[in-house]
Amino acid sequence: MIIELIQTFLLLALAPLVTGIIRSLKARMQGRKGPSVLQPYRDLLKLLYKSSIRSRDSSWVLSIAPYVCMAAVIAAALLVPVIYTGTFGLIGDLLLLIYLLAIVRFFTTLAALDAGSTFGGMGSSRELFISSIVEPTMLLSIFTVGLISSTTDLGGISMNMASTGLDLIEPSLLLAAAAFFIAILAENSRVPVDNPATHLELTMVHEAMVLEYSGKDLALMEYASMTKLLVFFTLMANIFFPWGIATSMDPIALAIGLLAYLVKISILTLAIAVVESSMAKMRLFRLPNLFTMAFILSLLAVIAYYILGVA
Amino acid sequence: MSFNDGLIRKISSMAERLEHRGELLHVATSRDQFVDLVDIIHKVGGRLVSLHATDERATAESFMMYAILDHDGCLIEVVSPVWDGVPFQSLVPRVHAANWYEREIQDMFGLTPHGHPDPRPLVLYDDWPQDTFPLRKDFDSSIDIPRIPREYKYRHMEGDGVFEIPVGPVHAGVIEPGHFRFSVAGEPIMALEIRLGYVHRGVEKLSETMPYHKGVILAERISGDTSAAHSAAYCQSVEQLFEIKAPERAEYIRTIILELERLYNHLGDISGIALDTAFAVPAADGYVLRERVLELNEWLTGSRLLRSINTIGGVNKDIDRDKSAKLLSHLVDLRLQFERLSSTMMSSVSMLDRVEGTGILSKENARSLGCVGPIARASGVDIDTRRDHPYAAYPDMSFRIPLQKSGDVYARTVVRIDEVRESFAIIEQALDRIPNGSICTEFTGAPIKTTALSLVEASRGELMHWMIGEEEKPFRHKIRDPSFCNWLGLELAVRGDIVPDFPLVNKSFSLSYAGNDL
Amino acid sequence: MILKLLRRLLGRRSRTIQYPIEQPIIPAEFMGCPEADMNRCDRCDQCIASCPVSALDFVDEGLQLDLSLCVFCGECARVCPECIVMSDKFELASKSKEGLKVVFTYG
Repeated sequence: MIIELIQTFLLLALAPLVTGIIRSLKARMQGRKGPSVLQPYRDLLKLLYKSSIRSRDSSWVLSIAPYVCMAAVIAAALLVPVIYTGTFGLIGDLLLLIYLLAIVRFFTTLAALDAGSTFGGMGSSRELFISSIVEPTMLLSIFTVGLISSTTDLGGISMNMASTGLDLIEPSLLLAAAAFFIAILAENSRVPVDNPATHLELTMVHEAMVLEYSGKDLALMEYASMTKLLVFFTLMANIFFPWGIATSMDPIALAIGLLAYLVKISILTLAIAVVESSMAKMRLFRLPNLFTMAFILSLLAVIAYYILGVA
Repeated sequence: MSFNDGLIRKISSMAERLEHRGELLHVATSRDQFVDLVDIIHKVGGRLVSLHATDERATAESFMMYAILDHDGCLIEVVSPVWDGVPFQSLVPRVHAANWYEREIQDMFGLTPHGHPDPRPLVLYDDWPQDTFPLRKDFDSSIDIPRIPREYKYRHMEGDGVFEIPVGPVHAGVIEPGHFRFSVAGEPIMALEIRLGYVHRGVEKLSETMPYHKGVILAERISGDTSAAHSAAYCQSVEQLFEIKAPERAEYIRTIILELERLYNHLGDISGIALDTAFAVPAADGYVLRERVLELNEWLTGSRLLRSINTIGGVNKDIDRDKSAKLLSHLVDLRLQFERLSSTMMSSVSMLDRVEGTGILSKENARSLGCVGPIARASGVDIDTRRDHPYAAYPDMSFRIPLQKSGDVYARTVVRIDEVRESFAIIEQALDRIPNGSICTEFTGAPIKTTALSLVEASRGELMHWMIGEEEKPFRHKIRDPSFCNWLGLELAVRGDIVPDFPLVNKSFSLSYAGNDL
Repeated sequence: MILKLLRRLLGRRSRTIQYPIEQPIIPAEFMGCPEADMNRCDRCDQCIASCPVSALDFVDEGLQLDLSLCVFCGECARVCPECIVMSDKFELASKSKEGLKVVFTYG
């Protein structure tokens, strides 16, 4: 129980650092130094002691949205294995995880419409349009891993795959991982789906929904999206490729688990930064092409599992 | 270029007086014949360069309206009197390009166009009192104008599922203020209305109070990144008034300065187009190249934006042999980096997907609105002041005019890339052939001529300065920045595109708000 | 493209100058704050007449330049190269409007 709590805190503490590292990598690829990797921490602290201003035309939805999103993301963080395969899995399995993230999306979208500004409405409509194809993709790809390891409890998936060794690398796992990577780009508003660093309100998807917040509310929303990104990374690292994770509470195993986690997160951070820097943002109505491709990949993963060996 | 005889015969039958003033054909006509005469020239392919008014009630007992047209390389100036309180017949039904010019005349002089489809104020705010007209000679610019709140009527589009999105004038990024009102059906844009005038500073009125040698400083600041072109046009106009000619060496230096300005502007625009598609790495590289050119400008002349170089009678600073050699080697280096950058950008599939087919401005629309510059050339309209009305050292330079047909963002980017290559070539030729001599001709005394017209190809297109000069300062100074002609093109180009593509199309037009508003 | 990006991460080609620890290189032609040597001044008033924004004026202590008006056009230096020179000073901020009035004193 202590280890599970500690590993969740580790995830919550590392989240802004991962965002800072992605920004720094992108800056270096553009030929400039960029802000320090600790800058997101400073930004959040600064926002926390500023007051929030809410539009007069908004309702209670706008006031509770940051808290709901924060709570849902922390609950999701409790469910994923970080360095040890034990989690608070008794409260729920991968279905609960997907729908916790869906609550985040639902409330963000609703609150964006609440303030009555045009940009919020545009952001909401685009976000729902994107998630209509991406959510089933995510579900299918995580289900595939559940199929492969015969359980839907996230800690259990991790444990089964880690202890069985490298035999479990099969085509369906790789197809599901590829589909999930595209889902990461979509859910966390990265290029080519959305540009997180843009100042053009007419092109924003996620940022447009967050335009109305200020002060503490904004700090919570920003932190929720940073933590969501790290939760996705952790899923990719420890559900799809969990080798290295600690299956017992042995200190050496935990140390190896921590090291393996940091290495996997670093590789994913580098991959996201390179993908973001190497292409332009896609035209909005071309995105279904990309997402449908991801959906087909995840569908193929399930089919491949059944065709290639139910054994 | 010689004038078409048939055209001259038709004009002279309707004109009261015909005069050849150098390269310009000056035609004076009556109020009733004005619209028909301009229409005749327009029908055979004449392009409206400017339409403006002057307050000559002290000398001629009326206002005068001037229309300047460019027909096949020949400039024709048609003038007729207009009286206060008598609405004049609007040109817009026949010559669409006259739209904003007539609205500006209405704002500034209080002369009402009859039959104008859109007689709303253009540059003056909603709360400006309705009987005060700034450019009239009896307007006192020292008193405070009382403000009367009123509402500006925007065009409305009604329908099921049609929304209105107002953007600006305060934008999220640090850019110039302008208001864009979209009528959208979900994502596709049905219509766009652009409202400007937020940075109107009264430059034309201010110019009437500044002596010629100080007016250069004002001209440089009309539009921040067009300093060299505006000041060159101003100096050329005043040089026409005093009938002095800048020495050849000065003309060559002016050409080099103008091309350097075109270089850094186009580099910035190309990088901006990449940035607005979130293609950050080539955009960053492009902005570094632009910064290198600005640093080159500063090393060469002391001013990053090429200010304080043009002066009446020539230029202020010389380029000696040492600087010339270093400049050439810097340019060779920049050219290599630029070629690498443009090939990366134009071969990226994700970028090409965004820019091809977006923001199409058809050739007919570009022509009928009188669009100029790279925007017109990207839509297939073949105009360039450096070739059609050469000035400075351009008659001695050999360069191509890039032309594209598709009129989309891709075409505008390719035109700019080609123009950058041509600018490199022109600077090299100028540095190679620059003759020895002085860099400035002295000017003293009073002006000999009364009117002057100067056209310069700035990075955005054809720029015009027109002047009626008095002894110490201009009597009337009409400035027409290329952006004035091109803003309406943007309204047409975005139709049918989706809202997220608008910033990309806007950046591909890359128009100046300050140059438009004056 | 991806290889080029990865190579950039490994190299150290950052173009950022750590100002104010690193100072930028000021070219010789740079037009910074005008500086007047009042020992050579003969009060011909040509500099005041040439300024397009009327930023120069004579006060009791010497020549006053109002930096809030100055546009750094260099006209004053051009009409009086004996006294006025465009220096390379560009760090001209002040916390008050009065602080922007620079006076060049006699002697």
